[in-house]
Amino acid sequence: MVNFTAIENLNMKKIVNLIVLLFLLAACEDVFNPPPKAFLNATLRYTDNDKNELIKNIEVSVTGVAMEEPWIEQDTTRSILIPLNDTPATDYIFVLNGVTDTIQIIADSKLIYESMETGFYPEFKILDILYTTRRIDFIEVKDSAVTKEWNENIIININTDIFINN
Amino acid sequence: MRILLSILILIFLSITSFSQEEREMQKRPPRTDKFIRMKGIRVGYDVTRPIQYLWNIGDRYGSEISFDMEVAPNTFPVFETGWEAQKINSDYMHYRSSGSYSRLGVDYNFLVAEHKNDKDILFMGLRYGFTLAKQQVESFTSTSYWEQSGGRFPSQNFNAHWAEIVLGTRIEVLKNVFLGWSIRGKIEISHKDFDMPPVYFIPGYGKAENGFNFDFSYSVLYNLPVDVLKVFKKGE
Repeated sequence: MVNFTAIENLNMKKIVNLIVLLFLLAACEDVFNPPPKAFLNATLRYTDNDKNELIKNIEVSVTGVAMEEPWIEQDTTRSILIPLNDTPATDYIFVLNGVTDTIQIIADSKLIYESMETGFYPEFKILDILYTTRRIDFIEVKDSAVTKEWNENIIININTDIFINN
Repeated sequence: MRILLSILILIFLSITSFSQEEREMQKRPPRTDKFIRMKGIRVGYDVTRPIQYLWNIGDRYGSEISFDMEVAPNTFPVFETGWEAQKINSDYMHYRSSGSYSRLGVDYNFLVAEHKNDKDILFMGLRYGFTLAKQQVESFTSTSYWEQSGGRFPSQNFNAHWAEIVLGTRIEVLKNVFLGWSIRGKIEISHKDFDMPPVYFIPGYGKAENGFNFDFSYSVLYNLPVDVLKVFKKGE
C-alpha cells in the first residue's frame, strides 16, 4: 500500500505538482512516414539456359509506355520491382539483353488504409498479362496479389537467342 | 484481445488491492475525518487540453471544464465535459476529427485531513465517458512512378463510449483555489466504425485503434463559496 502520510507535507505536495507541470511541457516532434508501396515483383529466368550456359546475366531496361523517364535503366539483375498504374492496364517496354518486348499487365486496384499518420496506398490483383514474344518466351503468374510485401508475382521466362533483330 | 487483457488486469488489480485494503482496514483505526471538508461546487479548467499537440502526434487540442462536489465525506461525484480536435497535415494526408465529450464519475479521497480546513485530497476515481464526433479525410495522396494519385472521403459521424480509472490530487494553493493533476487509464467500450477509413481519433479518448489509452491532465480549480447542500436543505 502507498504510504500517503509521506506526501502530507504541503510544501512537498506543491513541489510534486510543479514537477508534473514541467513534465507536461516536454515537447516531442512529429514524424510522418510516406505510405508503403505495392510493387509487382518479377523474376527473370532463361528458359534455354542449358543451350548456352555461358550466358548468366540479364541486362534489363524497363520504361512505362508514354513515360519519358525509364523506371529501370540497363540494370543487370534477375529480379525487378515495378510499379503498377491505378488504371486497369499498365504498359511497359522491356529491353532484355538488347531486344525489346512489350508487356501489358491488367489488374484490379484496391485502396488500402495503412494509418492516418502515413496514409493510403493501392494494392492490385493481376487479372491477365499480355506480351510480345521476341525475347520473352512466356510469363508465369506465381502470385496474383501485388502487395506491400513484394512477394514474387511473375516469372518472365526469356530465351538466349542471339539472332533476334530489334 | 487488448481490451479483454486490460479488463482482466484491472479486475486482478482491483481484487488484490481490495484484499490488501481489507487486511489494512482490519489493522487501521477508522478515519477521523468523517466530515465534508469542501462545501459547494468546485469548477475546474484543464490547462493541458489546449496544448496536447506538445506530446501527441499531429495537432491535437481542445478545452475541458469539470465540476465536482463533496456530497459525502471523501466522496466527490464528478462531471467533466469538453471539446477536442485532432488534425494531421502531412505531405500524404489531411485528416480532421472533432467532437464534444462528457464524463460522469466519482472520486474517493484517501488523504486524511490534517485539520478542519485541510481540503487537499489524493483521490482515485472511476469515469464513464461518451462522445458524439465526426471525422474527415479531407485529402490523401500517394506518389508513384506513373502519376500522383489521391482522393478524399466525406465527413463521417460516429459515437464512442469508454471507461476510465483516475488517480490524482487536488491541492489548495490559495483560499478556494486548487491545482491538481491526474493520470488516467482509458478502456474503450465501443465505437461506431467504418470500413474506409476507420475511425482514427475519438475526442476525449484518443486513438481509436488502441483498446487502452493512457492520459494525464493538470487543472486549475475554484471552489465556489456557496454551501449548496445547506441551500438545498433550507429549501426543503
